Amino acid sequence: MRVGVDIGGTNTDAAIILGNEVLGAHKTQTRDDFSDSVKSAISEALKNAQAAPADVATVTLGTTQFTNAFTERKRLQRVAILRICLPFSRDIEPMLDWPSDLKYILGSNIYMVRGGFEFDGSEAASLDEIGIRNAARDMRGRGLRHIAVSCIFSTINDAMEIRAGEIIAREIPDAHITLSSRVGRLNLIDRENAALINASLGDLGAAVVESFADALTTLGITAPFFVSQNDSSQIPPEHAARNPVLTYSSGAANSIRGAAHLTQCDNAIAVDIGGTTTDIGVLKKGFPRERSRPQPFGGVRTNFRMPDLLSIGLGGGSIVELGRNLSIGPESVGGELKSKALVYGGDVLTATDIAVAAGRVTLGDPAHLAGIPAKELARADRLIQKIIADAINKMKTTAEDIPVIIVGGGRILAAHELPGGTRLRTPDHAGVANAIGAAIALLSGNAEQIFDYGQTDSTEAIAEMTQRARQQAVAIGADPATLRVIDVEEIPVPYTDGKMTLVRVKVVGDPLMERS
Amino acid sequence: MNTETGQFILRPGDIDALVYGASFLGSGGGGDPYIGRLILMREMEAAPALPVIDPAAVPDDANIIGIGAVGAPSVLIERLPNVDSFVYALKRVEQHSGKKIDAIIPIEAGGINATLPLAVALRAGLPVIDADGMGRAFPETQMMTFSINGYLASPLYLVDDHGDCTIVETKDNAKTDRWIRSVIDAMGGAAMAAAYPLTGKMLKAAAVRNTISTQLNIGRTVYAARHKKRDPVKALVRHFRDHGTEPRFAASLFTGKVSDRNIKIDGAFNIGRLRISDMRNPDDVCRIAVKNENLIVRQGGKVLAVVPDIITVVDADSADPITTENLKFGQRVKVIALAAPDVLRTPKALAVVGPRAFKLKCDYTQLEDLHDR
Repeated sequence: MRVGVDIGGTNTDAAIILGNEVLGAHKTQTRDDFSDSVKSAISEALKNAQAAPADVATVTLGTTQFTNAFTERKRLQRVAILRICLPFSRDIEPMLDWPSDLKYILGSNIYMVRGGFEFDGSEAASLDEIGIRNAARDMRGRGLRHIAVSCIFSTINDAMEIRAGEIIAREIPDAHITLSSRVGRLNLIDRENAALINASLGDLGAAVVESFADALTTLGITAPFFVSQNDSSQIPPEHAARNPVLTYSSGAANSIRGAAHLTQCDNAIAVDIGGTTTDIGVLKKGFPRERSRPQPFGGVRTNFRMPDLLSIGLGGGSIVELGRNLSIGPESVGGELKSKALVYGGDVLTATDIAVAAGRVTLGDPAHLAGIPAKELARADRLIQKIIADAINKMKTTAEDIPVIIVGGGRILAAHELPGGTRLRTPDHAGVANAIGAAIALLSGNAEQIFDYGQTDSTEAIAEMTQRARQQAVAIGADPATLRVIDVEEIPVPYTDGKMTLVRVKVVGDPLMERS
Repeated sequence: MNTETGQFILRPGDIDALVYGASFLGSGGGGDPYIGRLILMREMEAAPALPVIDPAAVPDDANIIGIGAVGAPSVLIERLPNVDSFVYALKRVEQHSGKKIDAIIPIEAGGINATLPLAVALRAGLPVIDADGMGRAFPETQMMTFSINGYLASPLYLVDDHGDCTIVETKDNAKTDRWIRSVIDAMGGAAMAAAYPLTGKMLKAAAVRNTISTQLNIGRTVYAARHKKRDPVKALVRHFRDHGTEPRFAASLFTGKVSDRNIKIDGAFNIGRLRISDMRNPDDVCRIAVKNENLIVRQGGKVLAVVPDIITVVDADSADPITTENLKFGQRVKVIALAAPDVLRTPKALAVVGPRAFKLKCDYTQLEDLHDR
């Protein structure tokens, strides 16, 4: 059996699954010491499933801690960036358009040295090793040890980034080095930004992974554990410890995959209503549809592989203003729903109160709503249904009927049938879809390279990339027998007579497990 | 524009409006303006005032040269162009011709090349002409008005960041185009170009005039509407409907959701079609044919706008222009058209940039004649 855990800002959820069956689940409030919440969520879920720690085959952790640390600018480290690029790419220096508060916190410690590749992976300029050594010594002198390294076309050839990392590690033995080729895709600035964000998180990745490992040890779980990443696949803890930026927005990806698993739908719209926001994603052939445009993250442009989401400020804790200017959210009571909502004896009218008034759910004491005209409450409920229906409509791509699955703790807000006739499917265990998504996570391998189709034909190139992607997936623990190709892209590079072609292959597979 | 001096000063506060306008004139092509915007932003920190000269005020004997980055967008996002390499190209032009350059002109008005030449002008200490060779973005170099009017791109200078240079000299722009594709490939897929040496007289005969002003005008109209919380698309249409100077007309053509996106890369081109469906009635659709840029919009059997008029797809909520490669399935959009400048509507120009030149089976009808004034 597999265990999935999702640590959100408000709740920590755990789910135990075996094949297609959900054996047990538990939801608890996220506490300041998150390993406490993890321990209680997992042990309660195991109890529900009547399972023992020794039965667990894998554990997967999904967490928003890294995302929150960066967007809230908490505990960020001063960083240095070494860009291997000269004589190219000199005018747009690293961090040029970053928000000034981040530049202030992270510092502007920018080093540019000679080196870089052509689009075909051949050398465009020789690597300035002495320049890198001098830069590293300067960084050491300034007390910098969180270092990002970027290089032109490093996703095509990472040799110079690796060499630079070695030189820096020799000069700064306790350096935490992020290579851009490990965290980003084609596009120097976006990839470099991801490396810088990762560097700024410093040792937080290692600390989170370590305390999670400790929590599992305390519970007596010895099974291998993984961390969810932003494309809904999972990575080994040592990768997450080094490159926590890879886990960004994994929560949403997990919810979408969890919704798919619970309904056995491969193509659907997944609506995840939480305490403060609603995320709507699209499920295509069992995986979240990816966003194609660069996504600003905490004010910084990046190009992570992320699910294409529409986020709106509607959740179970959304504050409702009645009257002529009827409004719902985006302000929310968040984690304090159980003390602030009217039905719980609080003094704030929330979206949850509206759902109780509409008779959609039995919670707290509806008598607390007696003083409000029923007409007003009904009007607020109609607005909530309209907000959800409009948002779903925005994400729909065809006129045909596509199943709409609703999950998350705030799912009680939605009626079974929305204005316009859309019917919602609420699977069992919908409240912990994110933890279920984590539990069923696959391992992935990605490979990309530019080929000269004058010399290598398409079939050979795809075979070579598939082989490399498979090796990558197996190296992080995938079962070779389960690997399958889920995405092949061939993108011709213009101005090269259509011969040079970027080939990208993505494979996924189940983790290799000692027990099922 | 100061009418006496025939120039105005572009300042850092103008960059956002300029980039918006350039993306709009990109007509779905022109690429991501992000990098060009960053370069101009940085250049303006050092030199916050760029003189922009009205073509009408340029002396007939002035020496002007076109500037732009050429090559694969996927290379330009890794090997970011260096302004100094363009300045080196200008130096080579002066050495080769023995004549001092008086001003720079952008080769096109969309994407990275709308802003990059402005950064080059700042670094070189030269003014920029309020004009360009396309007034929008087009997929091929012979579609430049300079070429349409019989002026040679040669001698054309391609430089790289190592300080190396290729000079192409032919008597035929199509041949230049073929040659530079091979050279650009050998230079790593992208290069910095100086081309189309023009005199002030040639400029006045062939350039698309006042395109920097138009970009600013478009951008400022949208920003003002956003500031007043009004619909930017309505504001644009109202602003340019019966506008005294070019562009003289604008129309909002369709609002809906991208319901099909069939675009394939063929050599240097993105070719294909888009379908946009009405939100309430999915059977009510408009179709857009694309070759890098948006070429024609049809609804049912009716043409709503056709090249060289500028057809731009914007986000329905933000009114931000969306390039074809960034357009998503399911995205809510509005389609807007802007009348092309007169210099693109002459019979000579339409033979090169009109519907037939793009193998469309219709003749050109001006946007104004397809819609109520």
